[in-house]
Amino acid sequence: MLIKINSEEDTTRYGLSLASQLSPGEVVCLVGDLGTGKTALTKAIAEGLGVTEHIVSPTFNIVKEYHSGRMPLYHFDVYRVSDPDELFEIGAEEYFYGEGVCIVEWADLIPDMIPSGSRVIEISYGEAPQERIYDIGWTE
Amino acid sequence: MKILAFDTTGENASVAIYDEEKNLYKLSSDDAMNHLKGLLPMTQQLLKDTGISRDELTHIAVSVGPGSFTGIRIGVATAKTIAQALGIPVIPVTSLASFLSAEEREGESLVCPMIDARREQVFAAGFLTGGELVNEVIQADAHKVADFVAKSVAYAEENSIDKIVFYGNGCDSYKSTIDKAAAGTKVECIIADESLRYQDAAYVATLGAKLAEAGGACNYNSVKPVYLRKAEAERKLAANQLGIKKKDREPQVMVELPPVDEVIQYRVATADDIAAFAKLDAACFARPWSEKSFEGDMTGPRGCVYVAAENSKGEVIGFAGITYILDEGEVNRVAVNPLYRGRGIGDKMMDMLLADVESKGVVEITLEVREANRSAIALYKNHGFKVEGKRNNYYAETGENALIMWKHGRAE
Ligand SMILES: Nc1ncnc2c1ncn2[C@@H]1O[C@H](COP(=O)(O)OP(=O)(O)O)[C@@H](O)[C@H]1O
Ligand SMILES: [Mg+2]
Repeated sequence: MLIKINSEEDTTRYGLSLASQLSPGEVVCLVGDLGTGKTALTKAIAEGLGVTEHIVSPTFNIVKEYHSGRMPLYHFDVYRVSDPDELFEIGAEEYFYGEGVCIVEWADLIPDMIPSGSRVIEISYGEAPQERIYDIGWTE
Repeated sequence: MKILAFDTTGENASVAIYDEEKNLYKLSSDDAMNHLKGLLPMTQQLLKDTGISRDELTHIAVSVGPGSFTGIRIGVATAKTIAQALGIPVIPVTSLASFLSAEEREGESLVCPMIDARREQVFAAGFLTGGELVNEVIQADAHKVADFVAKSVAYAEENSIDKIVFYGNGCDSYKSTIDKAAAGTKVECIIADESLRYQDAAYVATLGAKLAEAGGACNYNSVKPVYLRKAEAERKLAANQLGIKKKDREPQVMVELPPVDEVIQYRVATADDIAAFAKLDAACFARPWSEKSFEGDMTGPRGCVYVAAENSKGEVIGFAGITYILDEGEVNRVAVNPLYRGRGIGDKMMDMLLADVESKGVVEITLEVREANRSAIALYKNHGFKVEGKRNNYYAETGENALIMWKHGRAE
């Protein structure tokens, strides 16, 4: 499905509604260039899950856990992962097949780690400054 | 000799003590994957129950993996800490080899533990019994499950071994692979009984005792977890694929988020809706129904009723259907366009179906739903359905469980 997002407000609205559909064990892959709003969308999903902690980008620690919502949220940013072993070493598989929701920014960099049947949101820039295109699908 | 042993590599953590008189004491946790909380209290409990003081302990045996990543770290760290504090050596035991102690064995057989590593892979090894203590004839590694089972059978055939015993949770996930291989060989392929099938501190303790006699104990410093890596080939292959998303089957139309206050219309569906339903179904579910399935329902001989929800442009944004079989109803599917969820559209459509049910005088209604689909389960509960059964591994492709829900009409 292709969705045209017209504003940051749309991003928030989409994230909130997505959160209402997520169940434990789901993995959401966010794929798109820097600044397309992967972290912004994560914040909206977190809000929808009832997470009260402040969400900060986990670029330097690969994954951050939030436990204040309806279910655990594991927020990954794998941009700086140069070797899949780094993910292996933090036990990423146990997060991906665990009891919480995983959101993975830059999931396209670690395709072999992502479980099959995960939701993928490919984000690209639109024409207007706040416009974004979401191309939504699933992994094989 | 008194050995304290841990296994935290499987779903349930366990603690065992094995002494010079070959007494074996054991406690295991009922809580799956709760290794961190359970391990030390369980150890204290076991020491208390057996009246053994910790100063009497001579060794700590620990399963160093492969298996649960977090579990291994907890087990190994705990073992090292206690060994250091008590000044006693550690006996590292691999989770795979520990299965050699699962049963009394006579003569030659091939012991094949397989720990599920997901995606058709297992951490597995093959051990030949009857000779050396640990005779690893098929190397411990991450194997493709079909390859590993084939390899085991081939090894047994070539070396005239009549029996292979499989252990580990890989037997549960890949039972059909074992059954298939068993059907094609004279070698007896056995899946260990459930009571013996999984990692257990008792196995670690007993094998640990034998290993210690053979000089297998070491300083806590040199104990390292064994994390086996998935097969390199698979990782490379996947990494070469461009993008991670499945290719879309059809050219996509661009949609915008609908206005918050858009008016939704509801109506009874007809065969004209089939194409729209199949399209919406594909947007809603990972394993969508084809147009043919809808056609079978809506034009076929079975009594089916479908309702549809439309947006202000007249596009179908939701549907729900029920099939009547004699005096029972079965809810088939409730689908709402993802962009319209959270607006009570599913509720409204369920109301319509239930009104139809009522008008037909039917009182028993059932449905099945993926156990993980919490929002659907909540919807059904709100409409009076209760979970009354569960089918394990119901959805073949994903191995997910199905919940069976019922609503009993006027009788209640
Ligand atoms: N529609 C939109 N959705 C999300 N962010 C937007 C949108 N329009 C503009 N922005 C801006 O783009 C930036 C996105 O940053 P961020 O979420 O950190 O991106 P990423 O995590 O993809 O690198 C923010 O500064 C945000 O204010
Ligand atoms: Mg980011």
